[in-house]
Amino acid sequence: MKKNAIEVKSLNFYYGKFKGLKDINLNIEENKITAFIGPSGCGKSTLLRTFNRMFDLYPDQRAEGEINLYGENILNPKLDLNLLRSKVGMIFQKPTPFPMSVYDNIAFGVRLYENLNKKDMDERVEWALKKAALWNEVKDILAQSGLSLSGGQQQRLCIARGIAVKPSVILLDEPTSALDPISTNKVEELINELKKDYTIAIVTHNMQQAARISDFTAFMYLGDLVEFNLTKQIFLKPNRKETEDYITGRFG
Amino acid sequence: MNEHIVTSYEGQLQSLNNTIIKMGALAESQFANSIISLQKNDPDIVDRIIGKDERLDDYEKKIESQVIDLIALRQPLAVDLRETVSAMKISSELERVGDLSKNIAKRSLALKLPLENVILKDLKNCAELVQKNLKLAMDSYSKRSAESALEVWIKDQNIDNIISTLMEELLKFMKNNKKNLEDGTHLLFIAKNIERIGDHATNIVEQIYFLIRGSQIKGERPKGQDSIVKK
Repeated sequence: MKKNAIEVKSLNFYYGKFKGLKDINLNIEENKITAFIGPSGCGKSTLLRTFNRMFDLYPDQRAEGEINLYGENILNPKLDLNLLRSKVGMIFQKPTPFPMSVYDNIAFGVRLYENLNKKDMDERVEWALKKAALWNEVKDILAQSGLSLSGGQQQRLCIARGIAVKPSVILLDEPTSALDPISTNKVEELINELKKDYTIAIVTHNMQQAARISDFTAFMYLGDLVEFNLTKQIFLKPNRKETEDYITGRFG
Repeated sequence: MNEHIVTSYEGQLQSLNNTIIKMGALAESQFANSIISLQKNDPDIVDRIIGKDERLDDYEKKIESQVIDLIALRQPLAVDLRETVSAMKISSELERVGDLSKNIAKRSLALKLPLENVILKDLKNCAELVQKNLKLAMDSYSKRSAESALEVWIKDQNIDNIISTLMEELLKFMKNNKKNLEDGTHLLFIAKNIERIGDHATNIVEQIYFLIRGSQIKGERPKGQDSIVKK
């Protein structure tokens, strides 16, 4: 049965007076990978950042419309933001491990939301690292600093940290653009594994990456959602000329 | 369609397109000459056809290597992907057209019946329809016209019907006189070759339609009634 994790309705977004997103309507299906592509400044990261209200950190940014996460409008000002961010995790372009041990990188987030005893916490850390396909590489160095890991390992550590609080949606903003091809493959393989349990939205500048890993692709341009379709359709025969021009490198 | 930001990529796709057009023109002329050889019984024409067939093979190899380069180095997407894949398939259809034309030419020299024979005339008329269809197919490629492609696809049915009637005539011709058996056999193969060339033109436009629209031509593939082979 098809079920939407997120339903975006008539979403407009403003950076002060500048309108960054224009009347966006789209559904993000549960347990699928939805990719957002488009040139720099098209609004894809802006849209991603609305899904966990990351923009709330900046006073002159505001969103109008509706973003329903399993039926609940997350733009509601009364919403508990901490709770929202435990449900909607985010991973960034640059790996951002905390300057603490591998173990504490995972446990830190969990402690914010849950009060686990040592044994349960150990289990949670192991579970998250296993989910992130990192356990075998770090199980003997859990006390070592997260910053001592390689770039690819750091990114998977961040994914493990995101998963540890058991979110339902994971947002990835260009998660492999700072990684080498092997690490990229590992992260892509991981993303594909994660979709069994989570709904994933990913922003990527790498067209081939969107083609490889996503089920649905959204092409955005100048704040508009130009085309949203099955990834296969987008990369074989998009319906809009703008989409075809962009993905074949004929832009402008 | 706008041009690629990367000029060398644009150049590679353009070059692939040009090679297909050149190959198509050669395949068309090979077929046309094979029909002329049917009417003229001229060994020189046949020699020339045989000699030029190698050039078609070379074109096919060239296109194959261009396609592999594009896939390996550019990872084409959307229209570029469809262009690339279609080029590979169209080139092998054209190569077959060349082979069949060569076969018609070789058989034409073996014929003993007089050049004014009525079956020969019918074959020529039918071949002209196929020639027109092949030309229209290649025009629809260079113009990127899905409408022309569809037209070829529909017209092929008519050609198949004419060939079926011709085959019946040929069978009568062979039954009438044992001496006609040798000529009749060659003519049967020639008729079948002409029909096959028509089918290749149809395959080509199916690719062209896919190239332009990104989907298959809808509906059953047109098929004339097959009167010789009983269902």
